[in-house]
Amino acid sequence: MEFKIEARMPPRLFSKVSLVYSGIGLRYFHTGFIPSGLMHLGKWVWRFYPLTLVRLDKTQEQHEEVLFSFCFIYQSINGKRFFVTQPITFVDDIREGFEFFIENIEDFAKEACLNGVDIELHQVLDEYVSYPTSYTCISYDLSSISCNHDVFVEQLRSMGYKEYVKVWTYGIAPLDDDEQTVCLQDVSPESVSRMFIYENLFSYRSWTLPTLEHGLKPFGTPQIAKFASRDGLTEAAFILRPDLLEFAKKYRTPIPQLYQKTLGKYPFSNLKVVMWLAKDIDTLLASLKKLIHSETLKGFKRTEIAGVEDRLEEVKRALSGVGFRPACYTTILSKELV
Amino acid sequence: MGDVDVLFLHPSTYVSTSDGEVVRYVAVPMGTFALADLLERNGYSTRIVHVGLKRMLDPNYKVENLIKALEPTLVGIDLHWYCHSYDAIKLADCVKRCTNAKVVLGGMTASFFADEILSSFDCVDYVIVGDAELPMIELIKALMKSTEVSDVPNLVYRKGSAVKRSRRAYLASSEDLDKLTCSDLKLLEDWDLYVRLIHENDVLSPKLKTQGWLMIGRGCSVNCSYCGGANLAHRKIFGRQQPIFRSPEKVAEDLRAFEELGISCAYMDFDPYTNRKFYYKLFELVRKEGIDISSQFLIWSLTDRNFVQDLKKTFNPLYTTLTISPETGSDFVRLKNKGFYYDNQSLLRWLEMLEEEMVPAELYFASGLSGETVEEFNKTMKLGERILRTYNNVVAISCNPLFLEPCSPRFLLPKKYGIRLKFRSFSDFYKTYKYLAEGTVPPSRLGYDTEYLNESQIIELSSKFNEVVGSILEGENLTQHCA
Ligand code: SF4
Repeated sequence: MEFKIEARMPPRLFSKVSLVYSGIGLRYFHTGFIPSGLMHLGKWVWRFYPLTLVRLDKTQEQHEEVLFSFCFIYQSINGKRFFVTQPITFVDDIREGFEFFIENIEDFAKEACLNGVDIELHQVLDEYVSYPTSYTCISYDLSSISCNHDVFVEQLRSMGYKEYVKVWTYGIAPLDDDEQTVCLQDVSPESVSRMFIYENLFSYRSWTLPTLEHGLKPFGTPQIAKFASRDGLTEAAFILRPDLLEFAKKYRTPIPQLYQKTLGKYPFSNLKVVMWLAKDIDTLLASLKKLIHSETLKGFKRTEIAGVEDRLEEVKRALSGVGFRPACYTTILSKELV
Repeated sequence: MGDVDVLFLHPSTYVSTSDGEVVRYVAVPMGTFALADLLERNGYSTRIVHVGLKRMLDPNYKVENLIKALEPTLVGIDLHWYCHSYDAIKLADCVKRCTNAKVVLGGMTASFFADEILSSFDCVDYVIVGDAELPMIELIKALMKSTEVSDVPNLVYRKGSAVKRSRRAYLASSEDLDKLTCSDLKLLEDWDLYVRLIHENDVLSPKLKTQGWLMIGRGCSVNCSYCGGANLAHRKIFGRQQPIFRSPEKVAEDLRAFEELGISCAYMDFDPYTNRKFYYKLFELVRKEGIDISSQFLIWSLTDRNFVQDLKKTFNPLYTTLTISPETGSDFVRLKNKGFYYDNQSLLRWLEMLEEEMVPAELYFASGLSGETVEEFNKTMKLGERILRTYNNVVAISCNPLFLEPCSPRFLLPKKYGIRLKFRSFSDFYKTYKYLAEGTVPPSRLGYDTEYLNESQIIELSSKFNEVVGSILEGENLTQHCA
């Protein structure tokens, strides 16, 4: 069987799975080319690589789309790397093609003198995972695809990949406030981001893609940003986003953010804490309870919290303790190339 | 006898820049694919080679080697768009230097300047004026049998030193167009690269979408002042009084073929009637057959909501956009230049409706319109800015200086449109693109001044528009993602 990789994103992908693109150049997406790049070793390189693996049947002059992954080059704390988002498969038998796909990506990354390759894979544990489902700028409705987490992990390990991080998302239906002592205050999302980047007094924080480059992480207006304080001192901070996938599915658009007027009035059911930091676990829980309670009053039916690193055993235990259930986990596997 | 009977060469346009040679205007006229397919079905072997793509892949590519190897009987070079004027002739010359093949040119520019081309360039043997389907079959038949070509319809040829026109005329009907297949892109070498690059000039930049041009019909019902494909041009060149359509079934067949080729977006640029009855039928067929493809639909006049809703439920939303060219922000200038008129208020209401229906829009403006002053152009700047700041669903907006198009109303009636022509003949177009290919500055790029603006002002105004738009978009990107 022969394979080849083509730089394109097939419309079939969107028919198969609802998705939200929230990266740089939102307006450009529909035109088919996102004009974003970066300087690398004195040369301009393009940022985004929408890669489709195609199986060729030479005898019948036919080709079949096998797999798609939205990839990009990014500046991480470990140098410039190639990031491969969750591969979406169009056929059942993907092993042979997947190996070809990854080998080619590695060749490309080596040729471009990148430090390594990172691959994001999801394992879904609940019926539904709300937006953002990825730590990058492309999120899929995970309930409508098969993520093949274990198959891909096993195959990647055999190709020399190691687990870089495993991150959990938990979800919960309405939560009682039981009179928490923290005080919540609306702030700008920028102030939470600044605190996230520069403040190291907070021992507990969510995991995010380790880059400062803008337009690569999930984004989505409207967004809610809160500080939680006790006795006038900020002890936790949060950024929450409504579930853009709900909107994307209802209106069949991959870029809900182009339609702010309708978006502003949309009665979202799901909300997600996408960025959080807290001084201690008690504060985290108390603030979360208060936060979820107040958002429930506004009509949200379910809240998720993302970015819970696997190593944060106490946080995981505490979340489970108040009724949060695992919604999914994301494994990022990495391979160093230099 | 060689390996192919008819070799189609697409010329491309080379422009020398400080960064080296750049290939512009990558698109091949859809008629070339239809002709190649028609000839194949009539028993003649054909090949389409895009010389520009070949050079993008290999800067040392020599088309001579291919021509020598294939030894075609006839080489067809499309000269539809004026921008290929120099490179088409250069290719013809190259063919003549390395084979005995006959060279035929076709397309609107070649048709309009047929006599001048044949009088001035020995390397061109024939020009087919207007519709080329039947003429092409008869021409190759005559050449293969070594019989007279004077009976080939629509043919302009040389007899001794005289340029002659065949007395037979051919005008394609809707039924004739239905006999064509315009979607066999595999007849073009490197077709898979072509569908990625059709609107871009950069081989390396990774694209989300692949695109194919759809052949829907021929002609136009109105006359925009600047358009070389207007009703007037179709009457003059083809003898076609009104637009003709292919049948929805044939167009749907091509869309299906595009989908099977992995083409994600059909470029649909044929909208000569405001009632759009044809499209309601086509869209229904596309839905019935479950064809999964996006559409970049270029509308020539404003649409109603029904049409937008129908389009939306027919095509995959990933790359589906509605594209419109208001050209100007001045109602007065639009009225003077556009065949289909609408005022700014109607345009804004239409964009509002598109936003409600969640359909992305692409908008194109121009500078150098008849009656346009700097003051009037400021209205274009203001409208562009306002649209960009108000409607997030406007996903592309830009402004380009108008180039003089052969056989456009302003070319034919410059006084009426307040134009001072700098290009009057084929040789003016030829020389301009020769200058550009050689990296020198041509005396004129656009081919005209208007009564109020000279060429450099016209170019400057478009750049100013694009700068303002660019800075708004850049700022937007930064603020969107700083959280
Ligand atoms: S609508 Fe105007 S620009 Fe479009 S084809 Fe007709 S005349 Fe040309």
